[in-house]
Amino acid sequence: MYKKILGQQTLKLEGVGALPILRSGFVLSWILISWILITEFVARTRLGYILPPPSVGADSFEFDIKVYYLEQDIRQRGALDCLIVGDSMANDGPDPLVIEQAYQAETGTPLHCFNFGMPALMLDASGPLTTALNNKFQPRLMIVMISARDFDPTYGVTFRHVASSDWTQHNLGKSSPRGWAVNSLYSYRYALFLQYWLNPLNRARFAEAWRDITPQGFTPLYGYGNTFDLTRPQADFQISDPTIQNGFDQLLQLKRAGVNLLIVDAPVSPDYYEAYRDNLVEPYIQSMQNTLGTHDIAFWLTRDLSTSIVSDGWYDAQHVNEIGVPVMSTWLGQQLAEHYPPEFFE
Amino acid sequence: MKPIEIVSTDFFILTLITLGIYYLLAPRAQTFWLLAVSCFFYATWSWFYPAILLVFTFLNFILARQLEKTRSRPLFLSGIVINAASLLSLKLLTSPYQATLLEQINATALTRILLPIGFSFYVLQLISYLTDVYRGQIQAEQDFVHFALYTSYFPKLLAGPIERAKNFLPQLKRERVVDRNMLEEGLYLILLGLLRKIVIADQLSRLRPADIFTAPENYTTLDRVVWLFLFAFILYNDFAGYTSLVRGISCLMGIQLSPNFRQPFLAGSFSDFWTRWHITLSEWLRDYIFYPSRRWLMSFRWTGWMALLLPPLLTMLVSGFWHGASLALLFWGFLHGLYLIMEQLLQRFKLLPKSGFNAHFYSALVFLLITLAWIPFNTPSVRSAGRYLIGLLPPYSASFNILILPDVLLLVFFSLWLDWQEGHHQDLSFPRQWSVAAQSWGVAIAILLLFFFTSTGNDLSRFVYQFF
Repeated sequence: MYKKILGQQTLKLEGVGALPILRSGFVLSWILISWILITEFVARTRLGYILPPPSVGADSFEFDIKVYYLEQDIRQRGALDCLIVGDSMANDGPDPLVIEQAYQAETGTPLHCFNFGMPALMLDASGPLTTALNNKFQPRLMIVMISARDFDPTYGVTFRHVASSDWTQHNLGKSSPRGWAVNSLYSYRYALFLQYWLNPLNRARFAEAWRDITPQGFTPLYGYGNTFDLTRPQADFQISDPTIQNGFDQLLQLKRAGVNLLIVDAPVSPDYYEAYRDNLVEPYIQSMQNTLGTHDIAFWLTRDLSTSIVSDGWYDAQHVNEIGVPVMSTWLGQQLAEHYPPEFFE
Repeated sequence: MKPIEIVSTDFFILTLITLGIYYLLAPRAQTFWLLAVSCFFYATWSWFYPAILLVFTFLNFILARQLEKTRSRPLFLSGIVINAASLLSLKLLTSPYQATLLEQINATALTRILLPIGFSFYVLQLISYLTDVYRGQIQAEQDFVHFALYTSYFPKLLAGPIERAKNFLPQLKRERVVDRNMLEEGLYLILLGLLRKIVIADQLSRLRPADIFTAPENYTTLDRVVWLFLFAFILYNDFAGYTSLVRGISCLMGIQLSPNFRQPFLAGSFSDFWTRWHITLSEWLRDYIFYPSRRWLMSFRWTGWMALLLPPLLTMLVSGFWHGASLALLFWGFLHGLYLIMEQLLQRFKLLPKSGFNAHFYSALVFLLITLAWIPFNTPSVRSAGRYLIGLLPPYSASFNILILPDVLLLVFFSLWLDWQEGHHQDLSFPRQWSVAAQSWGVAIAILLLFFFTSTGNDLSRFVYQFF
């Protein structure tokens, strides 16, 4: 009976071991080993700056570039003193180079800072990302720039996935093989980079981001953007979205875990402040001062800084340009020198 | 359960499991196993599909046995009418004119009529089977399991090749052998199929503006010209890639399926094109529409102009309708019918160039006219085809996204290079003609290309042809 069902007459593979197609396995292994050796070696040396930043597969070139630049920065200059996180107001605002110069001018001691601001990275995403960055890079001071806009769930939709990426999740302790690979293997990250690179539209976007971001993560804005309509209604400030609350709670948790956390109110133009003072900015500042005060977290206001920036220094109502950046960055460097002396960073 | 697409991890796993068990079974059990897998594969699209397939299979199985005994012409015609009418009505009821048609027959409640995927392909197989049995060219199959596998064999179920019973059924009856050559051929066909589908067709599709054929007025003349030519490459590599892939998989089971493409863009004439493009459909149309219609006309002693004009026109109109019941596709068929008639006229007056520069020029003209005919093939209506065509006329606008130009040129070059290799070696799995070192490097590079082009973010789009 079983002979009617079972039989092995179909496969007649004499001499199959000599098939040339099977030898490609050796060639493939040889190519893979060469790829791994070259990428892992080059990315870990000074030559790494020559190569385009590889991808961590989070569907954001800005994120890829900043992760790689931060790794290179720490590799070249040692442990990080301060890491700035936040949305575009952070991304385009404080220039680490100017902050370091201002700090050194005040204290005579060098400082090592990096700007990890990301466009449209709202609090619900920056909360987990800040935790992941702290776990991975252990900066001595974590500076988070936030504004009332961070509590509006309608902002930043396109960049939320960065917080749920394999890279971030791995550094939050939720490991996966891919998470490990994007954190540990440059060869894998360069393979991901090539996959993105195959799309010519991706190439153009990548080239633009690569050109704009400085080696210390800062993305300058030049000139003037669109005029912001200051007469349009703005929502009343309130913390109503649970994912935003969760992001905020993660920051509070960092402080409880002993991380040196500094929250900076991202400066807005005086016009913007006046237009939305009563229903948005003031209630937000009140709320922050109350909550952060009870958790003993430093919260720096920037009203005076905003008024000290000339009107030509604003790219738009919420972002500074090449004129405003030095003012803002110098102020931040001086404030750091005053509140965080060199002993703090030792 | 989600439908299993041909280029998907699910299909890869299904194939591995199928092969693993297949190699352990005796021939008869192998046939049962393949039938079971085919039904399962089809049922992942809808449980309803295998049910319809089995009904049609059983009906035709019985009909053919009766035909063999009786040679009854009414029985034969009723069999053809049942199959053809089913195809015709389902095509019409799932066409863009569905709502109007349902209103006409007072059946507006029937809004969810579905054309089972692959139906157009297996109905043609059933018609050819009945005809061949009736003509006495083959014997009616006595084994229902073999016959059911002929109609439902999963590698060819969704989009062909349209196999003839006389090619397929004898392979089920003899011992199926996968030797070194068959294995090599199968693996190369799979690899080349994946390259055509994933690296060329899918990548070109990704670069193509999504609405260029539906809203051509939003694009420049140059955009329209370039994407019209590129559409030909997308369609060709998509379908040729699919055919190569399923032929390769079938080789691993010891069953040879017919080739469907043979460097169609190198065709020297319109009639030559149809011996190179969707070959199994073209041969079906030739044997069951073109020749019979010509013979029928000749039976009335109409050997002149009527015999010259009607058969090609009728054949290509049927081809257009088979691709979809829309005026645009009928127009596509009409254009091709017209091309064939013009060519026959040139031949009759001995004006068709056979060699030299004129032959090359004619070959380029054939490619150009066939490319123009893709406009109604790919636009939703005759009106939008007209809009596209008018957009190719002056005044010209010439901006084009230069960013994608290197990619597009490389992909087109790669497609033509694959064709040249096929032609040069006279072998669709041509890498086996290469030196050992070239094969080793070629396969390794092909695997790397496939790895990079099948990134997680990429959508492995469905085959264009399987929805006809």
